[in-house]
Amino acid sequence: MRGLDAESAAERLRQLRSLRSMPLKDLDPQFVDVRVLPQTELAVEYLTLSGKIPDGVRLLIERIGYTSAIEPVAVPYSYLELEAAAQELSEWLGDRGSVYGDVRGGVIVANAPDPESLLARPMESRGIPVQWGIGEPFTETLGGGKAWNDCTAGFVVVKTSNLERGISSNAHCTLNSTYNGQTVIYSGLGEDRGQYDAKMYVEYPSGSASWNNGIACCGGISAQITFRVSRTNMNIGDDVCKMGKATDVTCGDILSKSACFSGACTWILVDRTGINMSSVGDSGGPFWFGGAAFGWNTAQGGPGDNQALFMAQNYSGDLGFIVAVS
Amino acid sequence: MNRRVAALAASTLVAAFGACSQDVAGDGAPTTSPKVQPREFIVIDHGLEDAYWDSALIKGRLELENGCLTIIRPGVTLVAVWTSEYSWDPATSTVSWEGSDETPGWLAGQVRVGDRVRFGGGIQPDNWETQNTDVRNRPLLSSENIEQINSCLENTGADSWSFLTPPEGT
Repeated sequence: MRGLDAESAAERLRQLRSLRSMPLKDLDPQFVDVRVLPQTELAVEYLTLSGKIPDGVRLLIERIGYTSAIEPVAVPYSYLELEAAAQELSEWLGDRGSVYGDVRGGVIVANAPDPESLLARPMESRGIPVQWGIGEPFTETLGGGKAWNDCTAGFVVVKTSNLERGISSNAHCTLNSTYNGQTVIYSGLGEDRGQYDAKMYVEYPSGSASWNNGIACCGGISAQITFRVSRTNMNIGDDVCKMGKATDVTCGDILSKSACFSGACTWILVDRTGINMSSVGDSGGPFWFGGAAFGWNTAQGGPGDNQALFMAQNYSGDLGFIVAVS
Repeated sequence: MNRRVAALAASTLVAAFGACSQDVAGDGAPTTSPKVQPREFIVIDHGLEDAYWDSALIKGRLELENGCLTIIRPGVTLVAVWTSEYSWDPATSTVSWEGSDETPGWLAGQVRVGDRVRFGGGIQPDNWETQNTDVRNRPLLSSENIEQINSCLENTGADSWSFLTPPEGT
């Protein structure tokens, strides 16, 4: 968080790790999730079907040394229920859109290029409300995360001006003419190198590539990006993972949201003891977690040269493109 | 076709932890480069631990052009800018650097003019004179550094420049 010193951040991480290491699902059958709130002092929501934290769980949480605020929040559905409902809706929707479950909101969120055109569009799935939104057009075969010349490709991105799709990497990487067999050219969108370090490339000639909102990672499994986390909503202690051609997939914790680099103190610093979060060649690769896009890996350094800095994904909007989420 | 049921917020992610590459910086091949001192062996007054560094791979041939060290590869020429760990030996036309006990991947090494080399770094933007700062947001480049870089960009016709960091940060 902005204003959180290193010592406080470290203590916050220690407490979070203690909490996350507890077998809360086993201790409380009503437990759904813990969620960190975006504020300077550590505060966590305990998502539960019952709306209560059982006394036994609260006692155990205190015993592990967790002292920060933790508030129970009642949610209407478990993960299993949301997953089953989302899966059912996804099967109905097929290639026409994307679906995910919002556990805190208690809804299924579905996106399609033109939801109104979908006949018999369901407004609930397995009894759970469906919230429809307009997603970007999509086709697929090419995703992000693969080798990009001297760097790594980031997310598939979309021009905000005309929804044209393409691929992204850092501005400090050399210009590239092909990506995964596809001829590409620089779109003219990107650069800066103050608080920004990203460029968008598009296929050339246009019309042949199919860009996927996935990331090639994780032993051949593609991680699908379905939503974006802005810098404001990132939290100290959030888990994030990155894909890079040098160090492959590694995961760490957000240690700061205001690290200084290239004349700006808006960079997100990621660290995990003993884990190399970025090495030579990893620049430009995506930082994400679950289906959420976080940003573009840019730099390395810190103790053991193991830390990474990334640019928050929402900053690319100022450059004229955004991460594709469908 | 992928099922587009998104991972929920508490998705489990399978993480394959990274393998360390063992590339070396130079091929060590003897060269016949002239034993001359570059007019501009550009070193900043900061060490590797003072800042974060671009994570692109800079590879090419180390050359001495019009008094400036450059990295040349087809289509791109970059002026080399070094951190304080690096030193130049005019007797052997060699750039050397120390390893770090605290950072196992920072192995000591050296490269000679004419070698094919690999370093970490990144192409600098047009507005580079104000866009390089350390972890406390203080300038990394002195006014002398800026003059040296501008001189080398002019004298070599290089496209840009790059800080060069150890070839593997593992």
